Amino acid sequence: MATDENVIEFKTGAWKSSEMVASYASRMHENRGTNRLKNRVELALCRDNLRGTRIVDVGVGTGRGSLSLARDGFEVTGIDISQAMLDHCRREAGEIPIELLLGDLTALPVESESFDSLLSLNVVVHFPNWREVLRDWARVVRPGGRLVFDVHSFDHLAAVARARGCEPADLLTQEQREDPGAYMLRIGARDVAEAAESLGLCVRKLVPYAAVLGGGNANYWLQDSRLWGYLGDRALSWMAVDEQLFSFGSFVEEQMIARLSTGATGRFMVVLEKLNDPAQTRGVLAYQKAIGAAFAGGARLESLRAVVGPEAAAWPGALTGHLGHAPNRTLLAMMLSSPAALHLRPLVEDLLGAPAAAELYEGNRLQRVDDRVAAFLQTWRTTLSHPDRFTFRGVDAGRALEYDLMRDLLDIEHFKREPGV
Amino acid sequence: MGAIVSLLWLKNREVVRQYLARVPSMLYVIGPTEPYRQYAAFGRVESLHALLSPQLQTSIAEDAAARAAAVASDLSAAGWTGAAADLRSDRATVTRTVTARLEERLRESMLLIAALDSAHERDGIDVVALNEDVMPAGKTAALWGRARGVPSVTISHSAILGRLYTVHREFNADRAVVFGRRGGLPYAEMGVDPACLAASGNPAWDAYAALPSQRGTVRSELAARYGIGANEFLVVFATTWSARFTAFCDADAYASTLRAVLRAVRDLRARGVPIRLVVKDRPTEDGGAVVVAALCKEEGLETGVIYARGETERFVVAADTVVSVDSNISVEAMLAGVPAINLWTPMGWLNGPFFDAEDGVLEAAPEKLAAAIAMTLGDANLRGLLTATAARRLPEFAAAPGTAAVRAAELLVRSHANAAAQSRGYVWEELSRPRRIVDKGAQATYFLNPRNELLQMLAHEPRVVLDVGCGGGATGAELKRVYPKAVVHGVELSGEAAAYAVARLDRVLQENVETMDFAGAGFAPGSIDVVFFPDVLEHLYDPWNLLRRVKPFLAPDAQVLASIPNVRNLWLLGELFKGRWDYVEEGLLDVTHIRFFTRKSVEELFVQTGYRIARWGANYDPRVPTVTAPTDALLNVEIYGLTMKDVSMRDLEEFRTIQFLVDAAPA
Ligand SMILES: C[S@@+](CC[C@H](N)C(=O)[O-])C[C@H]1O[C@@H](n2cnc3c(N)ncnc32)[C@H](O)[C@@H]1O
Repeated sequence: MATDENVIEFKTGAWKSSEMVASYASRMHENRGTNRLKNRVELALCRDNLRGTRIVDVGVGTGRGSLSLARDGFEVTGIDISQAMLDHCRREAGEIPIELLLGDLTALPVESESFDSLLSLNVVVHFPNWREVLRDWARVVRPGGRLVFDVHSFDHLAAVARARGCEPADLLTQEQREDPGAYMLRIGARDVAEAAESLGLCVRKLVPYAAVLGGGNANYWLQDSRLWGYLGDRALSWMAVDEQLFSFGSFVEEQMIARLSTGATGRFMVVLEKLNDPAQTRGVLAYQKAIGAAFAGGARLESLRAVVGPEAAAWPGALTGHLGHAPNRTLLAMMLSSPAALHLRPLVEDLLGAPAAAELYEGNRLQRVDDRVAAFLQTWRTTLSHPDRFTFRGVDAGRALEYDLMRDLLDIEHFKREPGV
Repeated sequence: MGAIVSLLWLKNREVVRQYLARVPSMLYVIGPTEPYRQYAAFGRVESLHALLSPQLQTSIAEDAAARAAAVASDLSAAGWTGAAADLRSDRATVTRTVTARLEERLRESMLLIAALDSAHERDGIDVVALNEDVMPAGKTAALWGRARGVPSVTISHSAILGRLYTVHREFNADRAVVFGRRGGLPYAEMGVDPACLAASGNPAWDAYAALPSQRGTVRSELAARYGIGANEFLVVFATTWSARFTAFCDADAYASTLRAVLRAVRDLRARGVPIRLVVKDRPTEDGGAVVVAALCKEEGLETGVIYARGETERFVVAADTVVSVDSNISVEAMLAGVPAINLWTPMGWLNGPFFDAEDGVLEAAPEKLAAAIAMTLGDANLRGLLTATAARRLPEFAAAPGTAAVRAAELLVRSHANAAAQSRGYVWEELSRPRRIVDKGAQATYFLNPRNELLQMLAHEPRVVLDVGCGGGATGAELKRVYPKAVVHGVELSGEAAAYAVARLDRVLQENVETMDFAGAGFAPGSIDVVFFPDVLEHLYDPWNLLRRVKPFLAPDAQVLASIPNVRNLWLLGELFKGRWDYVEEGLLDVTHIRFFTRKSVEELFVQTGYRIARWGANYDPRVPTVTAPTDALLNVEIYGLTMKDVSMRDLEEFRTIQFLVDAAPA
């Protein structure tokens, strides 16, 4: 396990080489693959939640988060520890006016209360000393100003782990647990609320996102689904070129997921305000809790609408519209093929009607057919009176039967035909 | 010599040839040996199953029958509910399904195991190469290998772009050759050690190395054969099929996707786009022509459709667009520089997806297929973009064509149990590589150990010694230790060896002795009284001339002490009889040998150049057995498959010799 100092040192240095900058720019900045959706969701969240016109972007990097703001007339100062990143950002900026400063995120090289809002994308996630970071960030924003940044959700890990009966850390790979380069800060709604309160800030919003972003934005509810892992990423990549798929993805993220809790997805956007208003913070936490409760009781549209409000009433119609496009249906079916999605079936029926839900859940039925036959092949020989009838000269000749038997048995179980013809 | 077993499909047999070229071995194949006839140049080729005597085959068949019967009786026994309880089908149907071909399948596996055992006993199997370690034969062989400690290598037969489901989701071999990085992803996900995987391209696609540059010729040849008009676009559609190894499989995919293509082509033709459609069916799809014709008729496409089952590469290269359904043929199109369209289906995504948005493969759902085809045919920008993108992505899918077989063979060699074979390269690589003393065990001996058997032939106290091919100078140093007054001049071509020798000898000439000027090098006529040629003469282009040229510099009492490999060696004759003449790094057929000698021709070498041979000696070959018999005995010898009559002891002596030792004097 890496120490916090290791991680901070590693992360602070990680983006200093120009190769790293170039690779980062092509991976994250350009609207390729699911970056397109990620950029749309994140930038919209920033734009909607920032206040005022004087903005500081901490860990500005390539300028992904704030160049478009600067272009639209915001007065932007970007701060980064990596000169190579700043150089790249300057090139990227071209004519767009933006002030760029070299500096550390825990000691921003700017006057106190000199900005209306602070934004920082994909930065706090790397730093275990996030509370210390927030202290300096709170300093530079004027009273009533905002801080907008994203974090990885511990609540998400905890919720998924609870559903699976394991520990949150069990969901992570060995590398994620041990390699300082792979370190990611994971915190929950409560952690954020406590830290905010202690700095005299309030929590304005916590907005979950990254349900269908793939890549490094794992949605652990999808584990063991057909949308998990590199194959899921492959499907999601088509959002870059398929407008209807992109618009469906945007709908899912912005209209549905955004209204749920920090348990819903692996990432959420934090919106803090420099205002001492504990009631506001409590309200946000209460909303989180109510959503959690709605899902714990086997979510139905009715109960969700009671929490989310009238927006939820628009979901069925809009969803049905999106599902007219076949790849959208398949994408949703891939999501719902997660074992964790089984208990969402009543909600899906509420949203789309029973026949459409049955079609979407068809994959789960097919998966059960495969599993059933596979389980049979694993066990049938052990239930015979002499299971070793298949061992010939110490080699298990029975295992070679599995291939043909799989097809033969699927023929009778599923394809309704004579075996193997 | 060991053996390799190949269960590879014929399209991959080049891999075997490449392996044999590196590791001369006996080859066992499944099925007829005929397609491997030419490989006999590297070693015997035999059919694996021919090793089983009819008796053994019968007894195994009986054994299999008995086992199958016992299983069937277990299954029908009243008490058996077993795992079938979870299945939906009734128990009788399950029992019937499981037992239907049980005996035959079991027999096949058992026969294969027995045959592998026989081969292993006879020749020692170094490695098993197979094509699918999940299919019955491949899996049996891989499991057999695991049980016997024989490494197996599976060579993918597809780029593995989709999900590995059910029976495909296992890894039974020890190593796998995949086409590209993509093909390794599912294995990595299964936890297979990346060191066991090699992304080597598809040996069966090596033709694409050259074919795209012949596009014009291929196209006109096909045009002439099928009467394709110059204005017609050639659209190739590769049919798909339902493998039924997962419930995620559209049993009707063959017809429904073909219909989608036929409709698209029909629509485009109606809009005046002249398209000639090639329906490329699977080679195994018997009766496909009839089905396709019927479907064409139903969809109103009675003309302008070519039905083909072979020549895939040529059609792909000649095509304007290749359409397929989650198929490797899209990768072939990438290789050929032809735009590829993947017909989108929900099952395709559920079992994949096979392509991502940046692979340069266009995806189109059935209703958008006509538009997609039209775009790839008519929109030059899009064509360019697709093919450029695909070319950039290609290495992900398949390593560059042309060397896949060689690279796959390398993995086989690496898997080879025998470590000695592992370091071995091609003969030509040896030739072009300077010998290194320090890092090569065998050659360190060659260069750094004194040739005592030659030193023992010294008949007088040496004064001026010329050691030709002195290597690291060990022989000269030993000589100087015994005769400190002797002056030793070494000649050595290898700079590295010469550098060693400098410290040991009085003088080292780093030169080619064939062109060396003895007078120029300071030798006085009649001054040299010992010349060593330790395994040197056979490396020379003109040893005769060298012997003649050196003679004037020899003293009257001079000894020329040489060792020379013997090609009339019985082991070597046995090899030759088997059709082998394998150059090796060192030994009788050292790859750098230029001349070959028998006792008779050694004698002639010296006599014809003005010497007489005073004494003969020999180093013997441990591989050739010794025989004790009276000196005048005439023996019948049977060895290495050779039968020889009336062989004299003198002949046997020569047969056993690996190097002749010669003590010659100027005549
Ligand atoms: C993952 S990038 C995010 C860039 C950009 N905000 C975006 O979302 O694309 C993290 C950025 O934080 C910067 N960074 C890392 N450590 C820092 C530190 N101690 N102080 C300031 N910036 C830092 C890096 O140089 C890099 O540009």
